[in-house]
Amino acid sequence: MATLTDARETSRSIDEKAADWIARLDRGPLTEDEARALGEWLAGDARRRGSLLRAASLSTLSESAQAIRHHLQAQLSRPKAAPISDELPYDNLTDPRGRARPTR
Amino acid sequence: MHVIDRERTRWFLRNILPHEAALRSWLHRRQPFDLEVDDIVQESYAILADLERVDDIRHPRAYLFQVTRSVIAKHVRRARVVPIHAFGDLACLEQPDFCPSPEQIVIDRDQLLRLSEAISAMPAKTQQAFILRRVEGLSQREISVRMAISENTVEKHISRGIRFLMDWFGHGGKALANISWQREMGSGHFDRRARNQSIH
Repeated sequence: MATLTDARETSRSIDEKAADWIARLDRGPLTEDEARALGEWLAGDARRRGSLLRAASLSTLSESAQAIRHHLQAQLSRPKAAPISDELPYDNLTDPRGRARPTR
Repeated sequence: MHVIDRERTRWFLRNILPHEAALRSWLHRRQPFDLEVDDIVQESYAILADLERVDDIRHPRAYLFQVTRSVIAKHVRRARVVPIHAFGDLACLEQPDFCPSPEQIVIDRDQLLRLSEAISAMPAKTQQAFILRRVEGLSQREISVRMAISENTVEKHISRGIRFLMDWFGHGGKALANISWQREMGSGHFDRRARNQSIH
């Protein structure tokens, strides 16, 4: 699977897989095969366990999004003129802290 | 293994994640011997994931730095030829910021702010799925109905969202724009996922 010479898996591709696993776990209980696959994956390079722990904790953090829903909604409803597309770079995004400044 | 243990995850979120930025900038300042900062961070976290228990860690920040120093030291020892300057750098590593972080109190608020920033910056579809899941509390199945996309696609959007957070919290919003993220978000990214074959 490694695209470059061979060698070590990049930390980035590890993060990618960790995110995949967290999303899969978020979907519902794993099948036996999946649970085994996860176990095998984790038993490999140690960095995978570090990455998965980090991904899991960020996923847990994102559950607090409910607590900031109003903040988030306000933020998202404002720049309707320039919707964020999947291709767009992020430079034209508004800083949420700028929200304190009323637009007139 | 406590990696996806709920309690370990929460402990990590409260006690370790808030110090990641400090850890990273400390590592960047030192440029430790050609080691990738991301690798060191992952390895350090792996040690925290493997610990039998963490409730006896009284100073998580200091502990984190200590673990990271041990990771670096291990790599230095492993290197066949240890450059002289490495020892000098090791000496610097003896003195990380050991004091409990003064920003500890505002951390939750700060994390929420960053979370809010990150979600706002997500690509549109991913953002929509992510908000339906995390804010509205819909299941992935319900989201697939709502957005008229397959459940697999919803799962991919959630994965993207998580990875977006990982990048955002690791490298900051600014850094995101110019690195490989853009390319990776292009078409085909999800087609070449490398998940184990036994999963469908």
